[in-house]
Amino acid sequence: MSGATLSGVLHRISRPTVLAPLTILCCLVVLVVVGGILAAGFAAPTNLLTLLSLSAFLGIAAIGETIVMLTGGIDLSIAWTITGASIVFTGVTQGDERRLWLGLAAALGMALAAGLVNGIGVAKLRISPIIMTLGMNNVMEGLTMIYSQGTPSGTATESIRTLATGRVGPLPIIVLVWIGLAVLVSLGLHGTRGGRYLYSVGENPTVSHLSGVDNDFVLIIAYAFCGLGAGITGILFTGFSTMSFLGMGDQFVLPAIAAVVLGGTSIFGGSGSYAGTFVGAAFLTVLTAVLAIVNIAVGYRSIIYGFVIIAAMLLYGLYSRTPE
Amino acid sequence: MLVLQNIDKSFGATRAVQDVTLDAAPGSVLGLVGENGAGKSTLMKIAGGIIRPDRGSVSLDGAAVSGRDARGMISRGIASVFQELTLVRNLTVAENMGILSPPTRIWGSIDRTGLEDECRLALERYHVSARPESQVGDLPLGLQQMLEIVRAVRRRPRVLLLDEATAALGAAEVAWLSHILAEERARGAIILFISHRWDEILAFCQRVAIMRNGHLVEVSAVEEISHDQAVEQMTGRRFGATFPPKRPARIEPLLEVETLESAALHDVTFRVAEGEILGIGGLVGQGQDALLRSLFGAHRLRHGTIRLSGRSYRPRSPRDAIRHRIAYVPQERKAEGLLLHKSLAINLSLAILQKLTGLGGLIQRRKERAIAREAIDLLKIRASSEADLVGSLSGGNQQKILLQKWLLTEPSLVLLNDVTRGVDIGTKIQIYEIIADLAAKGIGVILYSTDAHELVELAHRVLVMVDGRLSAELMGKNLSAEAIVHASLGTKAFDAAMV
Amino acid sequence: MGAVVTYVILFGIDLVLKGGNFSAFDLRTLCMNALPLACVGLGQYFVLLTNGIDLSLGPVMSVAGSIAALCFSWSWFAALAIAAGTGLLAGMANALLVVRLRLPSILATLATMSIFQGIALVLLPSPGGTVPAALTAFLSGGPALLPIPLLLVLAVTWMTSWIMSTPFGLDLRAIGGDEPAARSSGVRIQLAIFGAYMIAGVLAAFGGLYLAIATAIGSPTIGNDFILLSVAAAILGGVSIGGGKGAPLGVLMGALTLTIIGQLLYFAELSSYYQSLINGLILIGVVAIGTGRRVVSGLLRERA
Repeated sequence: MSGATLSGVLHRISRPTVLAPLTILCCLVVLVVVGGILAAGFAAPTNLLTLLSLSAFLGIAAIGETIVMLTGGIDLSIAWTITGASIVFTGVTQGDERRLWLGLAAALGMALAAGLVNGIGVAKLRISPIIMTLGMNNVMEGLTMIYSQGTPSGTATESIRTLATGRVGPLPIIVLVWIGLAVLVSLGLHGTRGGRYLYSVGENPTVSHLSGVDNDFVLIIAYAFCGLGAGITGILFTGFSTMSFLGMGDQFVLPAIAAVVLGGTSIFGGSGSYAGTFVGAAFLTVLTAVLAIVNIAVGYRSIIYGFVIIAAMLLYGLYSRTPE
Repeated sequence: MLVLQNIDKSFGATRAVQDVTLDAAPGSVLGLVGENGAGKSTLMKIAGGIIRPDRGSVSLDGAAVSGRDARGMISRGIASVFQELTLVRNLTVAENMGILSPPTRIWGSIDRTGLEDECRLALERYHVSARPESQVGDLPLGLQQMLEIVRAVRRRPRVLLLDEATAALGAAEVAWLSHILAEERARGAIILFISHRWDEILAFCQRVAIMRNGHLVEVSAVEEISHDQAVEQMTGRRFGATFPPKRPARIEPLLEVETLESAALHDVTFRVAEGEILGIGGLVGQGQDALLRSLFGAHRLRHGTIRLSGRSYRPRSPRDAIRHRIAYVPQERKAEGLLLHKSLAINLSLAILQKLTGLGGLIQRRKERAIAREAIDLLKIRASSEADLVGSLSGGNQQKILLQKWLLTEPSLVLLNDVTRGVDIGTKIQIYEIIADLAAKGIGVILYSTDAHELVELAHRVLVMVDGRLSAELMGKNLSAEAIVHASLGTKAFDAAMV
Repeated sequence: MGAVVTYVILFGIDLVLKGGNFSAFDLRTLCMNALPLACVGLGQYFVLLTNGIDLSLGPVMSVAGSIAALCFSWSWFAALAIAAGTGLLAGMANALLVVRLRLPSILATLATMSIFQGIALVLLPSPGGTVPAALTAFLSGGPALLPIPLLLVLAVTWMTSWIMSTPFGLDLRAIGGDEPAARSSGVRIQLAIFGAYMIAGVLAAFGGLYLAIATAIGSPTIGNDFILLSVAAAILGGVSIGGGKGAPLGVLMGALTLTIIGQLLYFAELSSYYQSLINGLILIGVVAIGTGRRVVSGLLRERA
């Protein structure tokens, strides 16, 4: 019996969705050890927690990207959705705690609307996700510029700042928020009907349609979640940087996609997990930190970053599953 | 001389071709017949160098043929025409014709006039009326098929492989092809020809090779074998005893369909009673697919009325159809039926998730697993657990899962789209029993099958479709495989065109 | 041709706003502003034709511009040649990943984007280098009605149109239209895709080179805006992500459209903040109209 379960476990581990996060986790450990050798205190728990709290923003931004990429799509519009949500939030609240809920509603409402528009464009108008979200990114940029007249005003409210930078005992609150969200998202993806439909649409839209799944609705909801996730990221990141600024979301797009891919989610959709993305986001943040302590120039960091992504893709044999 | 020696080829667990040795002589046409999934196409692709055999060798005039590059095969004088068209739809006729070596001007641009003139000459030479500058995608399917044939023969190939190249051709075009083949034969080409129409085999071929389940079962001169003998060879033993007995259907009408019209259907009217198994026959692609899909909300109808248990029914989507307790088991289990990278349990529950969802949209995993285990036991599926990926199972087991997935929806009407195609005998018998059980429970079954015997043995009545219309209704003593084949072929029209 | 119509409409509005005055100066600035985008958009066009996408073209522009700015002090000719060679090498690297290692183009070029960006920053950590003033003057000068930028725009468009008229171009269109059919028709798929990425790299390098010369300085991040703008220009020009469609002239029109929107806003006395909003709306609009038309014609065909 134990033989059967062992081979079953081994079999399951050999699937890319499980193999990828494990590999990245190993690489993450190696990175931390290397960092610890290079700089005293790097591997200390306090520093690791700080790194984890930095990863949280990327990790939360990558929630929506994971969901959308599981459908076989991609969302390039999170850059200005993040920025827009942040600017609207500070603009509405002006740092005033009494207007917190109004600010949250305005910022998240806008982000959600952006996501819904993306979803409708992709599902109903059948526009390719790359173009739709690229266009939407421009639209959000324009709207944000018009709203802010090029100079964002206001600051984050105290509560949001606490959420982003505060600690409960030794633990950063943002990390707890991230873990909480990760659990929720994983539960949603693997335990609910909606999650099941998401995977089935991503793996094979025809099978899914013929099994009675409303593919269009699933797609729209997926993009709506992605927009909402970007909005949440924007607000939390405002708390971290205390104010909003133009282009603050740009730094998230490509790392978010990279985190999803490193985490073993197939860009063709249908397989992957948020646990993978979680590890991927942490890995990318730690990689950046390690490259920073060795004091490598920005350029070399960027080069290494690119090679790491290629290496990961080759490692998972992503190329073996080209869609026919 | 084209010689295939001890060819073996497997795809995953399916052994498509097993130990086939066959030769084809210059100046003759060798027919290749067999049921769907018998391995004809695979064998032809091996002969054309497109698929590499697992074992065995292919040689042309003594030299080995290998390599998978279409360009290489063409340059060696092997030309193939397949049922799936290989013309690029967004290019013009002339561009498709000359794509390998278009004439160019000194500065490197394609000489468009030269290209079109070349094409026009070829079209005239082979009596095809098409304009070189029209987009291929705008042309009717039959004409596209003819262009593809012209492109192949124009290169004066040593070997010409035609795989169901007549599927999209009407009677007049088939007559056209017979002239071309006669010319090619006179030139000394080696020709392999796959067709489902026996008349064509008789008219075109000198020898015929019959395949069944990957084996070559018979090679003989066409005049030495009758159609009946060929059909018997193709279908193999008649496992009449293995078909479950038919039980009388009830009288209550379950489904009433009147004058359905769509892009693929014309004036289709019929009824299905509770507990009745209604067979649908005919050649491949005569609208059977569209008919089943239209009842499942997956094919747009222009007009017509459908009543289900007396109530008006017009499905807008599969989701809608499932709600009305209709189940559709698609033919392409890999493309349309199952999520190959997901577990058995996930596949089985996909269409009934609504019933398995509890508070907050959470799936009742324990119940889901129980259902899957039950299915494994019930259908004797060979899997180590319900967590196994469906893609890792054999074709027969996959098919059983696909069927069970739909039976779990507790349907009142089941639409089966050629569900036994490419399935081993054991599984077939199991599926037949399931179908008979459904009918016994009073569930209506519409069964489309490319296997005429299956229809005869299982169905109470059989409707034969030709070109989107119901061309015959067979029942009682009129119901026989020969009658179905005869009604499918439209033999008379073909004979008239040949004269 | 959606792009031509869009452009003509916008150009008409532009003319009206300026009171019918379209001066030689306007023509020159329009061409100068549009040239880099036209180059990289045409490059993107070749990749899109093969059902791929190249996200690294923007950074390729940066690398080419930076290298040239560094080399000009050494030799003009070498600077130009090295810049073009860089583009070729970059394209080869992308092609290697996509064709030989069979990585999805969007991920492969995402990675190389990061790499090329890094290379640009290593070469030139901050904007710098030198560009001969004479070259800057020459490439933005020329006769009033036939300024050099206009000639360059026409030359690039003509060159790419010529490439598309060769057998290689036919192969690319076949691959984009239906890759499996093209393969069994005997088209050498890998070779053609390789060529497409290399041409894209060279064209992007030209764009970057011109940007560096026109702005008289090398900048390591100047290409970033063009990563997605190049896709937008090609898509506006009627190229589909599905591949196979579109013509170089359309892409040129797409680039001109995106460029003239900026000028329009200026003359309409609208803030430049509207630029990206309008870019985005036009991009989505053009594509939505395209797919809408397909749906409608599909319905019509079904009815016929």
